[in-house]
Amino acid sequence: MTTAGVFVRMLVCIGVVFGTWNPTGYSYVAWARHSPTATTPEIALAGAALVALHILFVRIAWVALGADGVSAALAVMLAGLLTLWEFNVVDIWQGEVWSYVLPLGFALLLALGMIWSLLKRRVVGQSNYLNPPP
Amino acid sequence: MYGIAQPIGILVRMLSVLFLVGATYNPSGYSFYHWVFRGNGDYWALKIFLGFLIIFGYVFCVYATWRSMRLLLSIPLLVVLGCGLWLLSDWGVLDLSDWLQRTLAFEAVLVILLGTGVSFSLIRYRLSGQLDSRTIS
Repeated sequence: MTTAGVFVRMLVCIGVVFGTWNPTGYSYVAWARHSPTATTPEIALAGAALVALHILFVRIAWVALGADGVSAALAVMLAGLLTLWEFNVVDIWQGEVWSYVLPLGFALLLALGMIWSLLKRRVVGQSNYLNPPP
Repeated sequence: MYGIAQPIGILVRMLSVLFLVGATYNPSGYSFYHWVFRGNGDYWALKIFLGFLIIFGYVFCVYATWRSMRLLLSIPLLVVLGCGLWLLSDWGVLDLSDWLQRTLAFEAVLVILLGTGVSFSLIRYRLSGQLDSRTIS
């Protein structure tokens, strides 16, 4: 795993999560909901691809992190958010902030899960192995 | 590099599966199926020998696909490929009422499914660092 690989994985996770839904109105959900006709094959193909990517990423992240890792990552990210609030970077009492914070948190959690097995093997030499793979 | 998924390696695996599927059956009329079931009775021992090799090839590919993707990923991949066929026929690129195009499309879906399955343990190892192994305990 290279440093570029970390950023690529992070950007792909952010792209998949925010591509599925984001509050700006330019996302897969908005495209599918405001389609003037019934479901077109373009919408079906994009939806199937997004579902497949979510299954793949969530499964990899869950194998890498587990319940304890997910809890720890959420706790760290919550503390980071509260720190940003303390320094007046974000206002958590503003409702629309959460529509960015929640997808971003999910995307970062997925990215951490994608990176974690590789990072652990490189840093401490311990591999996650699957038998049988889920 | 050994054991690491690379684009050229995945391409070679895809082409190998394409050769296996295409040699078993293809619409041109020159395939194992046509040779054995639509030809005469010559070379019966060679036909049995090659038949066993083909069966071995399919068992190998299907087992690798089942082990690396299971239902959790093979069904989404099939749905994606099915939607791809739908999209192509909607655009008018592909005519699924035509026997030749339909047969080729189904063979292409089978090749992509098995080719991905054969490559997927390597892809996942490179993507996530999670190793598919039966011997580490």
